[in-house]
Amino acid sequence: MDTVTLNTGDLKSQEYFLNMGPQHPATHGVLRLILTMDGEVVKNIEPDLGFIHRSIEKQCEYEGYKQIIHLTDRMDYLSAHINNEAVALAIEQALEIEVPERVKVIRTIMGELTRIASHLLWWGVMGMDVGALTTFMYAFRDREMINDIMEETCGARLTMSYSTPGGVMFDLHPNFVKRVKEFIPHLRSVIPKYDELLTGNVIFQKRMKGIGILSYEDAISHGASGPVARGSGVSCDRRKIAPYSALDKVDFKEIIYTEGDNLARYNVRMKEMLESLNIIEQLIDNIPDDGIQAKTKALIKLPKGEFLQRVETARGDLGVYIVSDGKKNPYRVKFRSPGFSNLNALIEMGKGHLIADVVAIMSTLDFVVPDIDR
Amino acid sequence: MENLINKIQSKFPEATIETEGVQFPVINVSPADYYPLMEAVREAGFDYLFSMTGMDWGKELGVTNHLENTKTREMIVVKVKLEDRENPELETLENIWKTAHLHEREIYDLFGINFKGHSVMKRLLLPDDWEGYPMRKDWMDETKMIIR
Repeated sequence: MDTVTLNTGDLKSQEYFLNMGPQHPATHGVLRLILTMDGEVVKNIEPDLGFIHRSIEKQCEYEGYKQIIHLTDRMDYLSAHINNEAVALAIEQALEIEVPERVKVIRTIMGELTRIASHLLWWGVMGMDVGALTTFMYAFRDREMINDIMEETCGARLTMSYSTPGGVMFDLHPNFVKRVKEFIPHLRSVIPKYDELLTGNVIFQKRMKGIGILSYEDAISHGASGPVARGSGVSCDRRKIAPYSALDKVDFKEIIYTEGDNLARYNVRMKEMLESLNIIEQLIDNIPDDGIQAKTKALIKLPKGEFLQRVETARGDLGVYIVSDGKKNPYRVKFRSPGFSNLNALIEMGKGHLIADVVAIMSTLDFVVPDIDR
Repeated sequence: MENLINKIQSKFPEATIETEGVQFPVINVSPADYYPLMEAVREAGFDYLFSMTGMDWGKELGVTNHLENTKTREMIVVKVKLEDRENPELETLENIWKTAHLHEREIYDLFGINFKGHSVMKRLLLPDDWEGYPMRKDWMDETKMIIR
């Protein structure tokens, strides 16, 4: 029998389009990516957004300032509390209200709990994206404990709407301190196990190391923020740069890795959870007792002007920009969401990678699609 | 910051700078000077384009840019106003800050400002066959979805 030799020089490759999403488990929501492919290699990425666009910015122009807060939960629903806080801080900045110390401490503790819950969910689904299904179950078990704490005090598990201009909606539940104190040692004891399960896994490491590198300059140019930028060596933690609420009273480290690859972003979030626990621990025993609401008018009118408030959500730098013309509703509100700019970085990071690696890169960017679409 | 303000005043005499009663210094620039001025701002160390906000001031359309210097943590605001509501056009900033890519697409989508030289000037959030620009103040909400 004659041997058949294959002359690869005769083979031609052809570029084609591949549709990823909006109904795709790895896009974590309704994000559609139009991929230009050459074989299994991604040549170009074009995001198609808007499947969950509700025009929150336009809605804000027709709502009062107290009502706007309730819309912001629905943007980045995993950082709901921090979004609420951002709007409340912007309004307080404009009205020059000083909130009670108790409110500041409560907001910071709630914010850090939110961050841990968000990072836990990210860790669970990130494992699932690269083929480790167990992580999802573990992460949700721990996240449930935070949701229960939230439910007792805020009355809601996900979209809390807990901050109001000048304070918080309700006082802490009597069980709050006890429950948080139970949660801290629990999470401290399980994170080393999680490291053993996933972080140290050889297959996982090979999916992570050296994949999806974002350089320091590119991270800044793309407007990346949060753990994405900190994985590329950019110091950008708003909690350190411009401490808000009670963050100026606590001592914590800003986690920075310089490699810029998937593993660096992964490590930033894993270490951040422990730092958040440190912050909560420093505050939980000394919650001041000076009321939960500063005096505000029933109908809030902001003075004429422009106000920008930036906070660090679990995904990065959220900017609330309010333009007021002195009426009871804002003239223009812009939410500069961290996910939107981080998505910009994916367009370049994904180029030249295999499609399976794009899934891994996307999961380390930690998108929440309503945060991008607004 | 002082250096930049002096440089802008000498290089772009038409641009006005507000420093009193504002959160961050605000530079108002005409569309013709927009791109060279933004280049000068980038050279002065403002490497982080924090956000681009599309604006409708009633008469004019425009863009408000918030920029940050990641070394000194200073912030500056650059505003550009366009008189022409029929065919508003600006230069793209894609070559200076990569983040402008998606932000400009969003502004095109919601305010209808065309960015010359942008690589993908298509609608981003709304469907491709959508008519009108809903974030403009004169947009009519016929289905009463938002404006009641």
